[in-house]
Amino acid sequence: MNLFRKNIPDDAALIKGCLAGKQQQQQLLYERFAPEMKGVCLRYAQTSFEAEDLMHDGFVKVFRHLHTFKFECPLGAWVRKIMVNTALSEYRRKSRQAEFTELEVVMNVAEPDPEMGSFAAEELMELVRSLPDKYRLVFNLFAIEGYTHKEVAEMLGITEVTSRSQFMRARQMLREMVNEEYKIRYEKIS
Amino acid sequence: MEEHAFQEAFRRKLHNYKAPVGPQEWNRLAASLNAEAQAGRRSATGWLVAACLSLLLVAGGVWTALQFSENKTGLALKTVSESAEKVRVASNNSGTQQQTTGPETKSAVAENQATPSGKGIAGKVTETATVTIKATTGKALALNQATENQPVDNALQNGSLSSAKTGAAKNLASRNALNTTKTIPAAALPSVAGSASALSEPALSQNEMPAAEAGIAARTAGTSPETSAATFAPENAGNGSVAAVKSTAPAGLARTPKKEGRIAKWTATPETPQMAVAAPVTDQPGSGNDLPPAAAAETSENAAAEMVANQDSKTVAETAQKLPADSTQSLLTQNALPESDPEAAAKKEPETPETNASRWQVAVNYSALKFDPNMAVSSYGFAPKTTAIQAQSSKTAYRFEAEREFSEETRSAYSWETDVKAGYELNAHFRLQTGLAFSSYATQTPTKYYLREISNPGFVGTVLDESLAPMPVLQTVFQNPDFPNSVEEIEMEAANVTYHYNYLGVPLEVQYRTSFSSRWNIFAAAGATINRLISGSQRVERNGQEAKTTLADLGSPFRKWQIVLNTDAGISYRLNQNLQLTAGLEGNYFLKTLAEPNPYLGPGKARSFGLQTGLAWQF
Repeated sequence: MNLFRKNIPDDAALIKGCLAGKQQQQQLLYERFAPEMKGVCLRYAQTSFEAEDLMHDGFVKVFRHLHTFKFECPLGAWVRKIMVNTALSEYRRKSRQAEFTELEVVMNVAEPDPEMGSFAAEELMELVRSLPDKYRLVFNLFAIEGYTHKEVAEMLGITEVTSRSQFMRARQMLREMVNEEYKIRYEKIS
Repeated sequence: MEEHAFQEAFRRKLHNYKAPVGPQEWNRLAASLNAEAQAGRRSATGWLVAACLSLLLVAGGVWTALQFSENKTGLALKTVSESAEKVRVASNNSGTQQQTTGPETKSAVAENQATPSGKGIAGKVTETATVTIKATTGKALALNQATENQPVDNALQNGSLSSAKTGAAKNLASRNALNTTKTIPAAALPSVAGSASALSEPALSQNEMPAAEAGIAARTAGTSPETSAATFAPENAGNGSVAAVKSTAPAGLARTPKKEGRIAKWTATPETPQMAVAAPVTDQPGSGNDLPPAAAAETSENAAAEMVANQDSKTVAETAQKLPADSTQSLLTQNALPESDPEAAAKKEPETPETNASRWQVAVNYSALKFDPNMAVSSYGFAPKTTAIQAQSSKTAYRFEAEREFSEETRSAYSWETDVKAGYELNAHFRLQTGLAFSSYATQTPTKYYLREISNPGFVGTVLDESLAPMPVLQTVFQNPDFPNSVEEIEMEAANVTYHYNYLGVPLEVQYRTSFSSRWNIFAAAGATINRLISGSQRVERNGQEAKTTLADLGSPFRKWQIVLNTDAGISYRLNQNLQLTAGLEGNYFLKTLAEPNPYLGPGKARSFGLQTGLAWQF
């Protein structure tokens, strides 16, 4: 058992090796976090190619700034934060801020909840990725990452009201998509 | 509640969702990391080379300075040796005169004073020693003076010979009362001077000097049979008068007959090689024509033995009287130290004349600068009219405002420069300086306009190219110099665009300086620096977020090489013999525009102005 453990260095050893420029250690760190980070990037990107680019840029930043990691949080959370920030930077680079509006009012339509357990993670991922950029971002940050609307507003350079509005809109769109999907399934079954 | 459950379902399934990762993604990342590491290594290598060059420059300066100092010291030693040789010749010529020394000498005091010259020269000691035999109850005063330029050991060995032969004279010295005399230790050679002092002082304080001690004293003082001289100063017998003898390496031998009851002070002041050069033996009064050969040089053993044998100091007295008193006095005034204050002598010694300073100087400076890139953007163009008309045709109000913003509201950010310079003193006022300089210039433009390129510029109905990010107005000129106005303006939230330019350069300057007090100088310098642009960036800050683009990413539109005219002026304060603190104003003017020629960029040349402070080390 100890022999196996030796092959899995802890965070500190990994970081030390990476900082020393050892590519093997870099690859170990990458392999440890890449699948999860790929999932994060897929949620923020519209296409798989874009997600790969995001992850690539994110990991370059991770290795470039690894010396600044102070062990104040788990390494995985730190890497995840960098990925999210990279996605946001990319979004800002591409987006047209003027499109945002705070006057969007979304009616909360009460509909019966479909059976969410019947959806696989990949299916939900596809639904999220099909959202427009601004809604997808807010939904990811608020609903998945767990940031507050105030934090989301600061990260995206929008107001808190806009963040709430866009989140509600995103949720409504997702619900519609889920319902639609659910209906199709139900019809197929019946 | 239902809504919460809905989003919670997404969170639960997607938060830790893991997607398969292909090996090609790692390969791509590894390639990027390798490229980045290589770039870092290149950068580090560049800095290492720069550091090595600086080090070589400084080491070269130091080495040259040391070589220069050594040459000067060698010249001084040579002059001192020549002086000793002249004394030797004079000694040979004065043998008969010394032999007539009368028998009236009843007492004698040996006073040893050793003066090492050529301080800091390894392995060699130039020693000036004076052995004085004073008659207090009698009339005779004998002095031995030796100037040697040989290792101390040799001096001591030669002295032993002197000791044996001067035994008779010291017997006389031991019988007589003495006035208080002190031996001034030569701080630069404590081993020799200290031993001389230790041996001679007890004899003096006891008013007796046994022959053996006197001999040792004479020996320790480095009295050399070949180069020592002895004279007798006849004074009124029994009145305790003391004749004074002063000995310095350049001055050879000097003597002043004193009146009754006065004690003359004989001191040997450490002299620098430069002083020896300035005052060779033959040029000094009392050592050449004014000083008879008998007084100028004689071996100590001869002088002492003859003093005893003849007991006649008259001849010597006559000889001594031929010495001009004023010349001796002048020497005393210049070099003598109060006999009661040997510490003062030690303190005085380090005050080496400025002629000892090297011509080389190393200075480290830091300047805080206000940098004006003097750049302007205009779609109307600064070059041919046709281009301007073409540009004007598609100009928009937003773009015009963005250009105005850049041209008028760009201001200097924190800019600085540091350099290491080696300076060579051409003459008393001018100095040539060169070295290595690093300059970091920065400017900042507050803007609220970002521009986005459109595809198919020049055609009606073109659309925004979504693949291109919005960019500051200057960047549009660099990205698409042929159609800088082929952009659609986008007004955004306020942002700050900061441009950084880092240069490594080799300055060459001529500095003029003059002093208005012993410690304060004013200076002014002018010259040029060949600068190499080593890095640069464009950083956009908006809402706390930052996006950085290197100049390479912008297509490296800035000139790699620049010639910059420099001028600076200020004051310097000498903290000690070697170290100076400087402060002043500095101005720089670029001979060419920052960017490569572009019809939409103004022809203004960059300039900077600021405060400079630094430290200079004079070798």
